Amino acid sequence: MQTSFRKPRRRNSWCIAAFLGIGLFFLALSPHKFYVSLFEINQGEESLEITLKTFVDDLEMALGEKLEASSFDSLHEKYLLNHFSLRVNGQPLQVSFLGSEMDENDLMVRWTYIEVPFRGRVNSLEVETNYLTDVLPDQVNIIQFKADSECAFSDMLTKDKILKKFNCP
Amino acid sequence: MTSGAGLYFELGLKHLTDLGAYDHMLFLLALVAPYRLKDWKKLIVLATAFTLGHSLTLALAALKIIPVQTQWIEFFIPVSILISALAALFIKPGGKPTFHYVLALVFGLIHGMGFSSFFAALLGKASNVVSPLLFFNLGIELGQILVILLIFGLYFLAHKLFSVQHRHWTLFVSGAATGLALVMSLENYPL
Repeated sequence: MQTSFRKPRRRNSWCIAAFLGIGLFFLALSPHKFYVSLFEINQGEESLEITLKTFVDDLEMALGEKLEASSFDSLHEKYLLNHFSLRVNGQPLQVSFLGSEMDENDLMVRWTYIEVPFRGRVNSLEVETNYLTDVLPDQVNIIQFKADSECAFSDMLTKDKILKKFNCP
Repeated sequence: MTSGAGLYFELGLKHLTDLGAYDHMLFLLALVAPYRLKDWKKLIVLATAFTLGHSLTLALAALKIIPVQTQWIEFFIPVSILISALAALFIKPGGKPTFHYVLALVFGLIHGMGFSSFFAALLGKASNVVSPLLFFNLGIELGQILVILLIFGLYFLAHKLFSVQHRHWTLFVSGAATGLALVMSLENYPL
């Protein structure tokens, strides 16, 4: 007991060093990769046109299998329709999967085209998705929505926030 | 935040302060390790040199003017941390750290290319590049300032509450950064 009173400062320094060291050790174990996908939603004449950017390795992790070019669209469509939905002006709308293509430069990036038939003015848009967030806890889904120059919004959805409502002025 | 600019600002800020990708924070820790609170003018020059470097390569890579070999950049980033951490042992905070400014600028060029591969992931098919790039970079700057303030907050606490001497602090944080950066460099060696 005597010694601990005599050298308190040195002891405290060791405690801090230990805490910092342990903290840094856990940081070192964290994964380095980032998990992002992006939904660009633009209003066309007869539909909302959606371009989805996906990193194929993340999708493979979510589906638990390797994706071949031939089976990519059918497996992805099934997954997407279960993990993404839209409501426009309060009404749920049918999402149809058009197809996909590989990025010209990045082999891991796939662009998927989706269409939601809709005519008229968008007053409100609700996007609900747990796309990849159901399996990848760090996944961020960026939503960019543009109806016209008056109404353009973006936001990101995560594991803890799967629904976003945009209101046009 | 709901506007596009705000989103990219937030993404830039989060990218720098993300605990899952702490390499840029570790670099800042190693970079500022030799300095005391009263060396704040030198810190501003140092942080500005790093900012100039990374803003330049982030912009050039985002605009596709320079190509980026991601796997080499992922290797050179921990190497830059390792060198900075070792350099921290030899920098005298009272001296004129011109060499250190040059180092911050050069390593900024490497980190900017690292930022660019994350930034590229955030762009859509028809996205305009310039405005997102600007706000993403501003978010990174704010993140960088916050990280440096946090480091000095910790140093201040260690110094005031527990009488940790400055030289001990420098040795401890550069030692920790050296260890982590060495492991990361070996893990990320691309060949």
